[in-house]
Amino acid sequence: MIEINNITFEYNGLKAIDNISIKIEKGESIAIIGPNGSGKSTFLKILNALIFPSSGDYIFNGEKITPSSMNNQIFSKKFHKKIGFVFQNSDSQLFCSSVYDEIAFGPRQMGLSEIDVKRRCEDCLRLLNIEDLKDRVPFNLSGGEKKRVAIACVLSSNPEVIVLDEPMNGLDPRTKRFFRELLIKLNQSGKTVICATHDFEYVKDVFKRAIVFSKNHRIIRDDHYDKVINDSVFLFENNII
Amino acid sequence: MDWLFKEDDYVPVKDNSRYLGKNIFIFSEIISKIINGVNLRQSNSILSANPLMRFILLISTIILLSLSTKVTFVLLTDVLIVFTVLAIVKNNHILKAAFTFASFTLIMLIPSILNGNKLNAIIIVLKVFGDICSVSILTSTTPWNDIIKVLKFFLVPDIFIFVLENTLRFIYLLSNISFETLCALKLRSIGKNNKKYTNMSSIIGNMFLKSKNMSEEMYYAMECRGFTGEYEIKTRFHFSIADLLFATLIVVVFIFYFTMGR
Ligand SMILES: Nc1ncnc2c1ncn2[C@@H]1O[C@H](COP(=O)(O)OP(=O)(O)OP(=O)(O)O)[C@@H](O)[C@H]1O
Ligand SMILES: [Mg+2]
Repeated sequence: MIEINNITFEYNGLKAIDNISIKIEKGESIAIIGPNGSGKSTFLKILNALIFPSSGDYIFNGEKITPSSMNNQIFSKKFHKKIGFVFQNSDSQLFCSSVYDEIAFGPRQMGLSEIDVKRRCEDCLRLLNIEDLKDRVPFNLSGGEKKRVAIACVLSSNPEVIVLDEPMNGLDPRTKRFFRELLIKLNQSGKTVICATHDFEYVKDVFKRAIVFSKNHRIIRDDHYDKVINDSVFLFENNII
Repeated sequence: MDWLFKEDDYVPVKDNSRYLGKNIFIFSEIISKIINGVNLRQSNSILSANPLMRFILLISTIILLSLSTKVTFVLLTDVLIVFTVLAIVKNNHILKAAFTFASFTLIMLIPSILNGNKLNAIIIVLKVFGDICSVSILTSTTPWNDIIKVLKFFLVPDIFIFVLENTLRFIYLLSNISFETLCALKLRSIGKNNKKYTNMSSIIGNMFLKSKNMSEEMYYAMECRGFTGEYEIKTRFHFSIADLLFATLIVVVFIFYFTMGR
């Protein structure tokens, strides 16, 4: 489904990703692991076509993702519909004037009838347990509440691939457990889950595969999640634990 | 809930949302410039030197260039500046920009050239070229924070510099946030949006609220750390070989001016 060949990315000459190649199949659940500054967020941004690699190819569902192909609106909308991104900083992800509008944004754009939109929104509100927040203004919610809203509004447009950038940051243990269940549920329902994370305790049994980035921005391991997580010598050597 | 567990069969309709792509493009341009301005220091050791020298070089070339009426002086100074650009900056978009502006000036001066004012026109074009190059030397080699700190040598009060510096920081932070928000809007624009301008304006509104929160938080943090309204900037500039180089350049420009510029 996702194929990445020899991608390199630089911010003004500063390498953030150095020649990586990955293949991701539909329905996988993948953890992206690596020390701070190793390029995880950058990689996720490339997956979402927010930035484009300076060399190498990104192929999604057999189609090359390039600045010019993303210039085609229909294509780019179809692409963005299929892949949802939960930002590291959910503050900047919320821009509507109420939580309900925020969640309804995607479905409304898809041209669903207002009844369907309502159904989706209510399902999402229930799923993330934020029914009480429905009429609040997003920007003065607490951090954890914002995260829930951000996830709800990605889910409401029902993407096939869900990309999350450190979703567990700053959440209380109960919410973390809740997200763990949610990720498992989503993956079981056939969604591809790609998630950058540092929280190994709370994501037990969520992921089947782990991709490890090193501090010099390369992939140093791509293996079963459990094998990687139990290899404490490897993790210690690479500043991950 | 069943909808979440099966795939949508969705084909987007055409919608006029160029504005988003355009906005994001303009934004990323501006931001990369700002980030460049903030991140420069780590990139090159010559440029980590004292910005004061570059600042004086800039001021003196601009003043002398505008004072002089001799084509030889202007030409020589231009050559000197071009060499400096080539030597320290190593990217030619400065020269390109200067060429562009100089050619515009030339076009604007065509009527005067046709009236026989050839030499003056050439001098003006050369002056524009030199000025733009020397401004670019400063701005493209010096992080903005350091340019601001140069003001200290001119006895600008510290608190004023502090305010400027924080303005810069907030521009950076806020533009980053609004850039991310625009990206989020783009990612979630998956179909027809009938309320584009509402969305844009609510983004802008949110920005104001956020900036208010951020500055409030910063104020609290400063108060917690015992800020009393006095702020002292310690300059950590020291003289290095690169400074000597710039100092020599300044002297050379002055020599040029007094031998053949007047
Ligand atoms: N906008 C930017 N401009 C310049 N450099 C950047 C920018 N964003 C990230 N970088 C640099 O790129 C590298 C990779 O950053 P990235 O954010 O992808 O790291 P990360 O793995 O997500 O780290 P973390 O675990 O802290 O989130 C870092 O060295 C960072 O300094
Ligand atoms: Mg990150």
